[in-house]
Amino acid sequence: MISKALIAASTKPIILSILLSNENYGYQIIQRVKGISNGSLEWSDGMLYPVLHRLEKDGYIISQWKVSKEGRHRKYYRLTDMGIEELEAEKRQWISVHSALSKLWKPFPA
Amino acid sequence: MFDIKKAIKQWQKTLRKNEAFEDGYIAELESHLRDEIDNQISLGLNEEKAFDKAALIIGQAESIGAEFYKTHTRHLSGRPPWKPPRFMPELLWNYVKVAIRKIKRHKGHSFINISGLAIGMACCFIVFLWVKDELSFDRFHSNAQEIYRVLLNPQDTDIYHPYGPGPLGPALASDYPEIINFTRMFGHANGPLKYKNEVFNGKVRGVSPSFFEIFTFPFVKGDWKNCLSEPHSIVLTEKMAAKLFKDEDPIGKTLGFEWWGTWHDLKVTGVIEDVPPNSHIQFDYLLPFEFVTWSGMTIESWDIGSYKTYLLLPKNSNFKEVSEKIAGTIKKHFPESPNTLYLEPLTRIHLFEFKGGGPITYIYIFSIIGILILCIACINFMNLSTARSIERAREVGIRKVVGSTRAQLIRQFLGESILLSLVSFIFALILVQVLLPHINNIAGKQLTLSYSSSPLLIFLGIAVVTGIISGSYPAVLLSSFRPTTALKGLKRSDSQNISLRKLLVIGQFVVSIALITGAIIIHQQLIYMRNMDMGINKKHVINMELRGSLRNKYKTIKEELLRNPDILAVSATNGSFSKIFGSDKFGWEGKPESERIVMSIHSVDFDYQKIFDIKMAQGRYFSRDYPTDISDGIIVNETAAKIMGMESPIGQQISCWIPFDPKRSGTIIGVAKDFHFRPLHEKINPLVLVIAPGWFTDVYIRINPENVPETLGFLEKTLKELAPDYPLEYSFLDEDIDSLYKVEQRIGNLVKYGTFLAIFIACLGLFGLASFTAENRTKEIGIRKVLGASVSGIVLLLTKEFTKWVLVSNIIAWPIAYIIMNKWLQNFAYHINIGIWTFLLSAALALIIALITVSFQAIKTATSNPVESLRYE
Repeated sequence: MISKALIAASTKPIILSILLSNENYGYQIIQRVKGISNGSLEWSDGMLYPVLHRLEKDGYIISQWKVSKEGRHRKYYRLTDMGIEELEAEKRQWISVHSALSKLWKPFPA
Repeated sequence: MFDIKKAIKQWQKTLRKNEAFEDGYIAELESHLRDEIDNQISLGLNEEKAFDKAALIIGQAESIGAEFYKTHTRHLSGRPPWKPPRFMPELLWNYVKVAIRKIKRHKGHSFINISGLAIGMACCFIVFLWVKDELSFDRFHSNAQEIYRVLLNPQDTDIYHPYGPGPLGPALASDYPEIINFTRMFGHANGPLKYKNEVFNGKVRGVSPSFFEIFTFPFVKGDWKNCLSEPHSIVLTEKMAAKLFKDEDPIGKTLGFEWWGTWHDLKVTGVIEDVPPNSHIQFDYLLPFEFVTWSGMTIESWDIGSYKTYLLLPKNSNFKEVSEKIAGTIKKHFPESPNTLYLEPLTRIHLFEFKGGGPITYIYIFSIIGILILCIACINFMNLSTARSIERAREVGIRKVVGSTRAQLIRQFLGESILLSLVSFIFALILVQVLLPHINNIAGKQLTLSYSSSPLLIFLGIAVVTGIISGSYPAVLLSSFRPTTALKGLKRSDSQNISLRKLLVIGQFVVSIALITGAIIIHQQLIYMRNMDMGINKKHVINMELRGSLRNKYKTIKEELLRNPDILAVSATNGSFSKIFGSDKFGWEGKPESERIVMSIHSVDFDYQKIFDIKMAQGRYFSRDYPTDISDGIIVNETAAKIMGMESPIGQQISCWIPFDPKRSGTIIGVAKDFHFRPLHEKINPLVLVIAPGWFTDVYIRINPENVPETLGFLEKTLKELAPDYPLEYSFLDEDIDSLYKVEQRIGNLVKYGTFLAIFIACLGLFGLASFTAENRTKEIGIRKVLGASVSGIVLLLTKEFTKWVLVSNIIAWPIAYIIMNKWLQNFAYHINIGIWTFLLSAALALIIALITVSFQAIKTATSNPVESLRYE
């Protein structure tokens, strides 16, 4: 069980990273996250959508409705230039924390 | 069967309830839901279980999400783009253009629509103004809610009248402390005023000084507190003051007032604004109440007096309680009086007779008629709009194909009808302005429609509501057309619409026929009353008031007048026709002690019989050959003799009461054949005739039916010479009698106009319906023509059905009209019987009108080229 705080902190970088490669819609994002984390991160839509819309409001991502061949409407999100910069900023923060922790948890210099 | 679409819709609905969810977010959630459902299905669940699971998964998250949402990200997820925007200003302009184009292209049709609505609205407005005016009577007084009139109810009768004894007012005020104030009033129709040798007649009222404390009649000049405190003062209305004094200041001037033969000098102490027409108290000038004593009438007696008393009670008092308290006041001071007292609120005087009824019934009737006419107009509008629906079907089809939603179409058509309604509103206003003077003439009112008044706003509101209501049904109908059928030109059959229309047209015709019948019957009754043999000859008789120098020099003037051979007789009496005094103070042998019998008593002279050609059933008329007739002669009519139970009245003694001669008694010298001396509303009353010269108030002159203008000229000349003071006013008796039926004549006129209107509107409805059915049958008619039907044959075919409907309307209308008119006729003691041919006449009229209306359309259709109608576009 991953703590709430950790999940909350990680949603932003995860979403921005997923959207870096290509655009996605909400359900798709949830599935990808589940897949990538091997099931340990199971996001609910109540978690996801508020963050998505918040990110849109802040200008990091941008949305667009598309219709599939079968006639299904889906709202696709993609990264903006500002979002790419923000992702870099997040990356730097996470890498700092990560290297600190890595150094602490490294058993012995091999 | 589980319907997943329905389930999703249901789920959407519950989401919408939460106001945090904007449409866009709901759409996104729905997309998510569907994905989840697909997922569950792929995992092996069936549709229903998949839906439930998916909804469950999402459902819990909603609540958290919603709260989060509200605070953070509103307006980011507005409408999903595949849904049309709510409001597009560009489209509005298109609607307006199309509406105007439509009006221009179908001028005839639009004209009928607009005029129908305009007439309906104009009617409604006029009725509204009339009712408002009637309801506003006497409300302009600031104390209006606290003013009451005292009514007397003689024992064992249903009569409630306001004429009471003089001391009543002061006694009530002193006996009952809850009565704040009182005023007494005495009125007479005509009192001449003289200033600088010009004489003008005016309505005179004598009032106590407290009159101005109780009633609100604003003063233009003078001090309202003290203006009538001196006995020889007078207060004029502006109109009267202008007549007498022109540009001079009236205050302080002296003018002459003639009362029962004597001229009195009065000082003008005040001028008040003209009395508004919606006041039941009407007068041209006011005198102090005591002026009635100048002719010898008493105001101190509890037994005799015809004075009105008004009381002022405190705010929010229970007048019924006070009414009960004071009920026996007269009896307290004068035990032989049969009168009980009642209080009548001021605001009810005009509209209600005391025990119910009165002009208020006409208000109800006219209000209902006004609303009915507006309803009929709305229904017509609906009928006509939907009758032309085929032409608009193409437009509807194309709009739908291009992407218009039904809601947009409804808005468009509703907007059109509101626009049409507003245009009709403008015409209605014009119509009202044009008609108001005529209505005022007929109804005797002064209605106005000013452009800053609140009724105007109300009317505008009525117009908009009318537009919405009338347009709702066509809008819903037109917007429901399927694009495919509409564009192909096929017409769906609406059989239910036809029966609805039928009902509407029949309803309109029922109203019209009932009105026609009513108008005919009222007309008949009026003619009957005018021509009814009243038992006397009332044509070519002139009536004048016996006052002033005419009174003083009566003998001389009479001799002079009789010198003209065209003046056949001159007679003096105590009251013009129908104002004859009734009293119960008679005594004769065999009179029952306990019963109270009222008989009318009339003072006449020797020549009265010559004027009216009264026939005697027994005995003889008064004659100069019998000088005792003057003090001792009495004549009764047949009804009186019957009531007194006298088999051989001649020679019997009767005692009666006459002012100035209360102990009068005499011998019956003749029995006159019954004749009508009161309006035909009442049965012939018992009548007693005496000669009492002190009581004469009116002169009758019978003139030759030929040479009337010369005779009148001679009359005027003689009077000017011998009685220059006398304000020359006379009237013809038969006109006077006719004017007794003024109310009925007004009703008759109003019903006549109402009838025309109803017929016109019903014809509009019929025309619309005829167009509609003709449209429906163009193909059929085309084929018939090709097969050889003649124009007249087709016209007959089309009109046959309408004839049936009109006949049905007749059958419904007859009983309704019969019941209502019968009730109205009961108001008259003498009335016509409703004959069967009246109904037949109105049926025939209705049929003719209907046929004319329908045949327009029928002929047009019958003469149309079959090629046009059979062409397949």
